[in-house]
Amino acid sequence: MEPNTALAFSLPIGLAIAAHGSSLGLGNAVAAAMDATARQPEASKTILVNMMAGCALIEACTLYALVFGFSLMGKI
Amino acid sequence: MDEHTAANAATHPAAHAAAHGAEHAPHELPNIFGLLHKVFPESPLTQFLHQWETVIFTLLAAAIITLIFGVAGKRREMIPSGLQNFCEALTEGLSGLVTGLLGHHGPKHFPFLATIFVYLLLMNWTGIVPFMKSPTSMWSTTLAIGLTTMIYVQYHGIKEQGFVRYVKHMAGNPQNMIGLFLIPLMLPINFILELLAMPFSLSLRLFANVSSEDRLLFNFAGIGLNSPFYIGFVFQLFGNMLAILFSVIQAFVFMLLTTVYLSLILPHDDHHEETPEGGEGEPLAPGPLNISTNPKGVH
Repeated sequence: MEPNTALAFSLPIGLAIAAHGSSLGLGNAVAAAMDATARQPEASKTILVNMMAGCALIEACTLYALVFGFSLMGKI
Repeated sequence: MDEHTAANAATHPAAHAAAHGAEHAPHELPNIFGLLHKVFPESPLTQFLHQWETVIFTLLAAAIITLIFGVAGKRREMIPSGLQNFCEALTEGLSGLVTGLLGHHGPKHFPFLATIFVYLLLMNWTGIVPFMKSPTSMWSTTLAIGLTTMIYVQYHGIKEQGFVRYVKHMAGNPQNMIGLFLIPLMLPINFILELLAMPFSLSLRLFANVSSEDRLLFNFAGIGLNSPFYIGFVFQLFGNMLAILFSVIQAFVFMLLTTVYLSLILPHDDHHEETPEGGEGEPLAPGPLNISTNPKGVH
């Protein structure tokens, strides 16, 4: 297989795998935060802030894959 | 030999063309300096402006912040209105958040953190304004801010807990023999994590978010222009809404993570006082000190 073809196939698939993993992680995080808010509605602000920080860390992984995808896209 | 030169000749123009194409293929909406450079390609002034456009937009954001907060803080009234009201609401909201996380260290580090938030927010939003470009879509800008944050955090870590305790903290606070044996492992790990991974992840997150946002806007604009009756313009509107929201979130997350890093490295041995408001830590500390050095004890 030509390197260009391999890259053209694997870049979107790799990004999709990364997005899949981080969406599972985000789902877990948001579900846990919703549970916590339902149990303790008065702490919802703190929970929201903490959840946001965690979500940013999780979705950063997908964005790293995106950056590598963009940087490797020049080689196609 | 013959094959080698042939391969060289084959790959070189291709590589050159690819690099050239990558450099000139637009991946974000055009800004004013890029357009000026395109209209007057020979002029050294437009070339200079196009080359330094990121720095110029960065300085512009800084100038706007200085102007707004300078004007708002010029005439301080007891009952604020208009611009002063807005600035006070923003400052108070951020101050409450920072103080909630940092405790009595909060007010001291608040100016740096709030400046980062406002500065990044403005730089992210610059990408939505027509003929402007968000400087944070270049890695150089975000890496500079990430390195500044790293130096600020480490400097205050050393300053506020002393060099010996800082090194002990970096060595993983060894308590027993196992901890002592783990020092050669923990020290490099902590140094790599705090000195390298922190600015890297902070800057790369912001850069990836903002640059992909700009690419999204560019592609949506292309869809809008190519669709019949410009009906794809709806996508552009949607993309703009998304960009406004994500810019706020990313600036907020940068500030929040900086606050968290600060709260991790600052000394937190004052568990006995539970007051969230700062300032009370100081009178408590000299108390026992005064008693121990009191000459009355000798009497």
